[in-house]
Amino acid sequence: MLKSLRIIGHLIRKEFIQAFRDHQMLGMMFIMPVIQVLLLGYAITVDVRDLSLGVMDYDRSPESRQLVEDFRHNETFDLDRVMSGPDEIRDALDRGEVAAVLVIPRGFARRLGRNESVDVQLLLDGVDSNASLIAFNHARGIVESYSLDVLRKTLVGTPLPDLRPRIHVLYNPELISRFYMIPGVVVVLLTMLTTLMTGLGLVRERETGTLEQLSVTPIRTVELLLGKILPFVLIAFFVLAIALTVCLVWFGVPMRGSWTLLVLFSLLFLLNTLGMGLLVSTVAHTQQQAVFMVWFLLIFGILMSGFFFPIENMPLLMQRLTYLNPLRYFMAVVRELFLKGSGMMSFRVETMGLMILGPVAMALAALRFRKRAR
Amino acid sequence: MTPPETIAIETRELTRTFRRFIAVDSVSLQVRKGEIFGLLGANGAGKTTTIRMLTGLLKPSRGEAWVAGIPVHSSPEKVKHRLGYMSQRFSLYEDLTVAENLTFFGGVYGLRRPDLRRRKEALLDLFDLKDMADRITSSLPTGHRQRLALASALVHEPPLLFLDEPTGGIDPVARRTFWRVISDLASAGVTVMVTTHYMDEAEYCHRLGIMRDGRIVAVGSPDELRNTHQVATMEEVFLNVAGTGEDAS
Repeated sequence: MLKSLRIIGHLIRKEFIQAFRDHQMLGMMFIMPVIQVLLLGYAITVDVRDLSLGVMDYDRSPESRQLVEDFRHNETFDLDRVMSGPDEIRDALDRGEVAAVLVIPRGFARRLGRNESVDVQLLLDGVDSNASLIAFNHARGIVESYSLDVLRKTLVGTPLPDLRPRIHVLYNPELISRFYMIPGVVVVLLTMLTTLMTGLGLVRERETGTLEQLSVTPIRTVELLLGKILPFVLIAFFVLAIALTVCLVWFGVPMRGSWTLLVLFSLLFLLNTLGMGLLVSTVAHTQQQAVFMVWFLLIFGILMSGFFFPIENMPLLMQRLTYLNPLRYFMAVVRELFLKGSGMMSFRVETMGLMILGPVAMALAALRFRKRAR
Repeated sequence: MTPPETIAIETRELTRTFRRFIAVDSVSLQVRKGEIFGLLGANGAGKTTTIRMLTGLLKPSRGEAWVAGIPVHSSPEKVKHRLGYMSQRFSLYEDLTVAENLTFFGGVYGLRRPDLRRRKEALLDLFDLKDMADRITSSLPTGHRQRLALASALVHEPPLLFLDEPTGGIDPVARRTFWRVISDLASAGVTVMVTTHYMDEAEYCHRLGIMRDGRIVAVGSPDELRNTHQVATMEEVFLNVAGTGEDAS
């Protein structure tokens, strides 16, 4: 037992000497997370705001100007251009100079005055379906409240029924998508770093022949694998600390949950990514293959974690598949810990998932590795 | 049945196949304690595969292999602390220093700190690497790398040493020094099994086994082999029994 610890100690020491000797790698390891969280923190947002809007007002009446004003004051739209005819509308949309065009017909004010119904048209660039959907909803809201105002003015004195929704948004009242995305960026970062580093670790030793040299020593598989994993656990926590500091201090993401839980779940999650990395390194023959395999796994892992696309929106089969994705669980845990401050009890599924998948990956790696040595 | 104590290595009908290809074919041989035994043969004759089976890196398909009284064919792990192994690749951690490599391999063999320090000093001395102790391994010339690889294989003072083409790519002077060290080790009781295809190196061996197509085709001391084949040089012996010998220099 003591001897095992001593041997593992030597392996860890060796990994650290190697890691710190490669200055370039070291720089990447510590500067990369800062840059990534900083840049992606700004870049990755699903908020739709300042969509460039063109207006084609055929009516030019006080009433039509009022509607245009209402659009101008909405944060979703940014009135960029006043149009002068159908050709210009078409061109501007085709060239992507505007994302939406509001068309107010001639006779808008006159017909409203006569209590007749009027259509206003909104043309949307639907290439980005998500953004146009949001724009569509906002535009409809603006037009509806405008028409409600018209109705009120017409029926002054008459009592009107009034149904108004009172919406309370919990946990992230200002609906700042950054608060939701940045913890996700940290998760992705951690996954990438740890899977890739362990994935390459054993393969590099196989390429240089040192793995064979280790195989003729009395070292045990468990000792070797632990010696390969533990250094990365330490490095991973260091990187996590840096990334979280940026996330809390710079972006002011609130952390409402327990730090202890975060650390525990991170450990549990690392068991998964490191296991996956090890598994890759027992399958891959060259470092190139290892990088390829890790990328293949990561793309699935990230896209099917709920990072960008809610899992509930996926087809049922895909939803079921995500249960095999450790990122899915950790992503949920981190986001809920940050924004909701949820306790242990709300993470039962996540705990189970991570506790099953991690050890399975580790066990498979150990089994495969044992076979290779013979 | 366990071989007698004077026998360091014994194989019985040792065989290894890769799919249909028979790499090593029913090899039976005995190596005495303190002997330098050379495996001679062209590339692909099965020398490396034999050594890999004896060191527990590869499982035999058939047959038995006893190393230091331990049945390697059934319990390959048990023999590992008793043997040193150096491959033709001089597998070292290129980004560690000379001293760090020795510390690491010693540590992996479970050496305690005082022993580790003592062995490191002794090996740096023996292999004349003292001035290079803090050099990064990748910056060493090939001859020094080979010495360090051998030092790393000896750090735990193994009674058996397996060398797989240990002198590839190093100059004649370095080779002579190398063989002097090997002879000294053998005099001190270390059993050495070495593969080579350099004929002049065959002379350093006490006994030789010449391999061809996975089989041992001749065994004996260099003198015995020359006498039985009635030739003047090992090269001729080799050409006689090992076929073309194209790859042998």
